[in-house]
Amino acid sequence: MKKQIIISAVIIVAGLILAGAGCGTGDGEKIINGQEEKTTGTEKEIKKDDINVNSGVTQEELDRLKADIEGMEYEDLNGLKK
Amino acid sequence: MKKNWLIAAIIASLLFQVGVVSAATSGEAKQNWLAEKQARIEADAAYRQAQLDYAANKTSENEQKIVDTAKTVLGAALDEAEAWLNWKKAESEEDTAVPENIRQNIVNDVVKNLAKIDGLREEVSGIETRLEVGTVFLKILGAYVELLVDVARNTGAAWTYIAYQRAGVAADYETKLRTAAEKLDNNNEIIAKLDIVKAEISLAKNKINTAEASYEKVFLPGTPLIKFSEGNGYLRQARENLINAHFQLTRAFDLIVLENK
Repeated sequence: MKKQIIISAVIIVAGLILAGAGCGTGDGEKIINGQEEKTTGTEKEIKKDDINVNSGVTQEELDRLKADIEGMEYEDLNGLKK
Repeated sequence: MKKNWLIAAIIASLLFQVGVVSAATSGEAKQNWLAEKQARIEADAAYRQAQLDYAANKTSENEQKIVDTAKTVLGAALDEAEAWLNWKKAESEEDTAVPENIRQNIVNDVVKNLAKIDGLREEVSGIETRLEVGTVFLKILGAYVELLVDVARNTGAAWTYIAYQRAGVAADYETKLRTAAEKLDNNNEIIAKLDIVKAEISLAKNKINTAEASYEKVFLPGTPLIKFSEGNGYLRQARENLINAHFQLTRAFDLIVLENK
């Protein structure tokens, strides 16, 4: 009985792993409106080294705002006509 | 006995997988909607062609073609509506930037309207004659808009909320950069760019206001899908203003960096 429970658990876990394969978002990837954007380690380092100009705004914040604005998409509903 | 538990384990595993797959991301749900939309457009073209063929040659074969293609296009329209509702549900569940009450309204309306689709499918599959095509087509046409109208209105509310947020962030950065620029001696060019930013944000906010007014008219009776498209049009214009504002914000930021070197 114990053996049966262990084998059942192995089948379920294997199924879940297979179902999850490819669904996750890898390290260094972000999804903006369904589109994946990859950032490399080098890009991350550059952003960390942003020059602080005492402007109250960073390059990273400006980049994020740009991505947010560009991600504003509006799809019409044309649908069915007689 | 041994076989029974093995089969039960495999079935349980498959059910888990179905659960995982059905919990699609909003990106996947959008792609699914676009595919269903394309299928409906193609089915619609086939139905129009069948009508033309029957008008040219009134045979029983061509009459049956009208019935068959009408059933296909109506089914495809329901698939498209279902896929759109599922996309909006997935989007609402994911987008935590939108207030909880708007997201919950969308999810509730989606669940309510998805439940109506099966009944409509039965009506479509019951069509047998060309005469029934006309009556069921009109019925589905009305039901199709009813399925989408509440979710469309709330989607508009979510989109305007997000657009106001983006405009607010841009205005905040403009204020911060202006404060920094005012401390500099050589700041004329920077201030000029920030003035453009201010004007673009003001235009964007006006268009967002107008879009909001259009979305509030997404109701039946009326022309809700046209009002929805109008709202979308104003938000697209606001997006362009915000892109222009961001471009000038970046230029102003670069000039401040140069002046501080």
